[in-house]
Amino acid sequence: MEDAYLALSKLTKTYPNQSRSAVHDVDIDVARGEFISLLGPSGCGKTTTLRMIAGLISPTSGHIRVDGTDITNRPVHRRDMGLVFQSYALFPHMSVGENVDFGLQMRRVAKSDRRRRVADALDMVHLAHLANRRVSQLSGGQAQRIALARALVIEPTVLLLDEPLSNLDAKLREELRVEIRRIQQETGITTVFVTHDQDEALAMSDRLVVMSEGRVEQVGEPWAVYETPKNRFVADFIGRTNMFDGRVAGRSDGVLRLEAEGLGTLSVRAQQTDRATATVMVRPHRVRIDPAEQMANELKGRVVQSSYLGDVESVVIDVNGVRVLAERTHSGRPLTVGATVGLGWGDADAYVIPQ
Amino acid sequence: MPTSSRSSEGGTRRGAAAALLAPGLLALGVSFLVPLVWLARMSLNRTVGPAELQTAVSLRSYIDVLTDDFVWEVAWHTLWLGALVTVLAVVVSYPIALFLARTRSRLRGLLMALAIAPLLTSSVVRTFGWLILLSDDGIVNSALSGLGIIGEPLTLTNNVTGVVIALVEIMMPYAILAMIAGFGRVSKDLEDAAGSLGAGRLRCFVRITFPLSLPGVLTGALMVFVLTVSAFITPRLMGGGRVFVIATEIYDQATTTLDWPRASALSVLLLLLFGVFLVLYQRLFRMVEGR
Amino acid sequence: MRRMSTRALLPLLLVPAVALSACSTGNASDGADDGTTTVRLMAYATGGFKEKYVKAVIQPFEAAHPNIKVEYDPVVSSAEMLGRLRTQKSNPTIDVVIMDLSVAESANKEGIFTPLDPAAVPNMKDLSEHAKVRDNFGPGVTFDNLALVYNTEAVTTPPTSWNDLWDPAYKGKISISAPPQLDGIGLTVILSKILGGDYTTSIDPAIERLRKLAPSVQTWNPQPDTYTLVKSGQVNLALAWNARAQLQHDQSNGALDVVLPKEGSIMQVNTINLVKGSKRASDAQTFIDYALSPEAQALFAAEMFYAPTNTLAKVDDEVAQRTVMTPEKLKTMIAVDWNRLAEQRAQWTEIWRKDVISQ
Repeated sequence: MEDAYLALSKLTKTYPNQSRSAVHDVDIDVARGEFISLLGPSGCGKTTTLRMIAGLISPTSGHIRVDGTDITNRPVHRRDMGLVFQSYALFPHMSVGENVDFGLQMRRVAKSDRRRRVADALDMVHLAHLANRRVSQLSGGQAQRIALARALVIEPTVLLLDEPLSNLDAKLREELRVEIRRIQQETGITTVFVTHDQDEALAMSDRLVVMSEGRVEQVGEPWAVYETPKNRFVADFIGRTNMFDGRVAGRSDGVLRLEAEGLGTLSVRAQQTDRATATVMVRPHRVRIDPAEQMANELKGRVVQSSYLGDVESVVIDVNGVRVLAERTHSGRPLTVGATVGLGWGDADAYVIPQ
Repeated sequence: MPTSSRSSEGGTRRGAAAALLAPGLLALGVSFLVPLVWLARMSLNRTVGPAELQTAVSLRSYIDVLTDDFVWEVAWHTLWLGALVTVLAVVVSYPIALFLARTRSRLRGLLMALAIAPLLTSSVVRTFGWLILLSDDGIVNSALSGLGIIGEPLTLTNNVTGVVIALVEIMMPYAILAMIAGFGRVSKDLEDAAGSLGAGRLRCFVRITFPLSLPGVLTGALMVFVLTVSAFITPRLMGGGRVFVIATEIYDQATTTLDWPRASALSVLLLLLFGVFLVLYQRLFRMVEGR
Repeated sequence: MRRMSTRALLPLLLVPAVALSACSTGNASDGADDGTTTVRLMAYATGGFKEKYVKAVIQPFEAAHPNIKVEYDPVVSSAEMLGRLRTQKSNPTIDVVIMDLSVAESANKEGIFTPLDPAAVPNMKDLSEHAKVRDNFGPGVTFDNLALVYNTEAVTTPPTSWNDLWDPAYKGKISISAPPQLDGIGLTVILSKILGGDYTTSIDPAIERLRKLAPSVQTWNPQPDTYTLVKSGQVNLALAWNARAQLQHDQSNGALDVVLPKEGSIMQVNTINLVKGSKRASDAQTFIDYALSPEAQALFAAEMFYAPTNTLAKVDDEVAQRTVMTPEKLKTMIAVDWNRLAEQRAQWTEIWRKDVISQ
C-alpha cells in the first residue's frame, strides 16, 4: 500500500531454542485512521506482532515504520503508542484521574493543560464522574474504558489493543465493542486490535489479518475474508462452514461441476478450472431445508442433530454418510432427529476455495 | 451465582475446615500459648536474695525492669541494631528479590534455591562462619591488606560491626522470601503500560515498580526487624560480650543470674513491643496497599 | 532465648501427665524386682566431667554396693540444673545433684534440697572447712580455682602473676568471661585483694584497673569456649578454671598450659546435694557418703584435677601440684562469701558493663 501509515515489513521474531519462528515474514500495511484486527488461534503470533509494534519485544529481523519513519529500534517509551491490555493494567496505587494523567506527566505537559485533557479523555469514555475513584473500585467494563482513555489521552500515533475485551462478560463485551469503534472513528486513530474472537474482529474492523503459526494467512475486509477465504484454514477459522472435496467433472458458463463422495454432482459458480480436484465451501446459513423453489444443488438426508437457539436452528444432516451443517431461520417447531428432509443451495451460494 | 445453590454444604465445609485446623491449632496452643501463659505467670513471681524464686503475684519485676536505666539502654541498643540491620538487609535483598520475582528465566528455580539455601544451615553455623571470615587473619582482612587498602587488620569480630554484618547476611533469605511474597502487585503489564505511556526505566521504577513493591518491602522489613530484635545467637557469638540486646539480657537473667521473674517480665515486655510493631506494620501496610 | 525457655518449659507441661501415671502405677520405679535401687544423679555434661566421674566414683561405688545403681543425668550448667529441678519440685525424679555452691544455696532456700543426715553421711565430719555448708545442707564435693591459661606456642615466658594481663605483649589476645559469669566476678575479688583492698568494702580500685585492661581484651564472651580459643591461638592468655584447663592441657598435648598466679586465687566449690522428696533418700545418702570418702575423692582428683574436699584424701604429689590441694597453695586462696557475691552479682555485672566493657 502506497499510503501506509503503519507498515510492517518482513517482521520476524525467532526465540532461541525454538525451531519455529513465533512470527515469520509478516507484511502488514495499515492506512491512516484504519481499524485493523489481528485474528487467529492462540499461538498464531498475533500478540507477539502487536508487542513488536509497541516496542515491548524487539524483532529478530524486519522493519516497522510509522508515517515513513523507521521505529524498529526505538524504545517503548519513545514510540508514542497507546496500549490497552487484557488485564487493564491500571496502576492500582493511583486514582482513576492519576492513571489517565500519568502519560501526560511523562510528557511534561503543563498542569492546566493536563487537567483539561484528562477531563476530556474521561468525558470521551463517559466516566468523568469516576476521576477520584480508586482503581480497585472499578468494574471490569469501567476499568477498560479508563485504560482506553489513558492510552488515548497522550494522542498516540497508533492505538494497540491486546485482547481488551476478553476479561469481560458477553453483554459488556458487545457494549464495549461498539464503544471502542465509536471512539476510534471519532478520533480517527489508526488502530491495531488483537483478538481470538472472530465476532469481535468481524464487527469492529475495517480489515482483518488472519494469522496462523506465525504467518499471515489472509488480509481483507471482513465480508471478503468471510465470503471468499483464501484457503481451508481461513474458511474453517472464520465462521462455521461445510467443506466438500471433489473431482472436477466439467464446467460450463462459469459453473463448475464436481463429483463429491456421497453427495453426487455439485454445481458451483467459479472462475478456476485448471485443477483436477477442488474444495467447495458452503456456509450453513446458505443451506436451505426443504426449499420451496428449485435449487442448483438438491440433496436428501436424515436429521442427526438439532439445536434450537431461538433466532436460529442449527441442524446437522447426514447425507449418505456426509455430515452437512445447516441453519434454519424463522423455523417454528424444530426438526425432529431422524426425520428425512430435503436440502439445497444455489450454485452462487457455494464457493471454491482457491488453495 | 453457583455458590448460593451450595449453601447447604457450608456447614459441613466449615466442620471440615475446623477438623483440618485442629491439629495445627492444638500444636500451636501447646507449643506457644501454654508456655506464654506460663511465662506471664512467672513474671509475677518474686526473686528474693540473689536468686531464690518465690511464688507471688507481684509487679515487682516489671517495676524493677522499667526503672532500670541499663534495661532502657539495652532496649535502645536493640531497637537501633534492629533498625540498622533491617535497613541494610532490605536494601541488599531488594534487587535480588525483585529480580527473582520478575525473571522468567528457566534458572529461576535454581536461583531461588540459592537465595534461600542459607536457611538450610543453622544460624549458629553461619555465625561461626562469619567469625572465621571476619577474624583478624580471616579472608576479609587478608584480602584488604593484600590489596594494600589497610595496614592493620580491621576489628570486624567481637564487636557490633561483626554482629551487624552477620545478622544482615543471616536475615537476607527471610527478607528475600518475604519481599517476593509481597511483590504480588508488581506486574510486567503495569511496567509495559507505563513504558507505553512514556516512562523510561528509571521513571517506571520510581513511579510504578517501587510504590507497588512497598507492601513487600514492608513485610520484609517487619520480618527482619522482629527476627533481629529477638536474635540471640549472633549477638552472643559475634559480639565478644560487648553487644547487649534484650535477648542476651533475658538469657543472662534466665540462665546465669537465675532471676526468672525478671527474665519473664523482660520477655513479656518484648512481646508487647512486637505487638506494637505488628499494629504499626498493619497500619502502614494498609496505607501503601490502599493507595 | 525462646528456644531455651521452651526446652525448660516442656517438662513442666508433662508434669501433670507424669504425676497421674505415677499415681496409677504405684511408684514402681522405687525398687525393681531384683531388689536393686537406681539413684539418679544430676551433674555436669561439659568438659569430660561425666566420663571421669563415672569412672572414678560411680563404677567403684556400684561395685561396692551391688544393690544400688547410679544413673548420671548430664546437664550443661548449674543454672540449667536449677531450672529443671524447679519444674519437678513437687515430684522430683532426681535424687542427688552436683552443682555450684552459689546456685545450690538458692536451691537450699527454695526448698529444692534437703539437709543430709550426719549419721547417714559420716564422711561429712572429715571435710575441709571450705567445704562445709550451713545446717548440714549438701557439702562441697570438689574444689576448683580460677587460673590463667596461655597458648604455649605463642607465649615463651609463662605468666606468673595476674598483673601479666596488663602486659602489652598480650594486647588483643586476651579472653575473659565477663560477669555475670563467675570468672569476671572472681577476677574482681582477686584484683581488690591485690590492690590492697577488700571486695566487701569497695571494688572501685579493681574496676579502675580493669578499665585499663579493657582495650587489650579481644572477647568478653569466648565462643565456643575459652579453651578452644587458647588452643587455636585465637587468644594467647585467658581466665579459666584449673580442673578443665589441666584436662585440656593433657588432651591437647600441651598446646595450652595453666598457671596459678603467685598472688593466689579464688576457689570454686561444687556441692553434692540431696533432693527434697527423693523416694530413695537412704540409698542416695549412701552414695553421697561414698562420693565424699577419701578414696573416691582421691580417685576423682587424679582423673580430673579437682582438689578433694575430704582432708583425709591421699593423692600423689604430681596430682597435688596440679590442684590447689597443697597447703602452700591453699594458704593463698582468697576467702569468698559466695552468698554475698551472689547478691552483688547483678550490680557488679552492671558496673562491669558500664565502666569496663564499654572501654
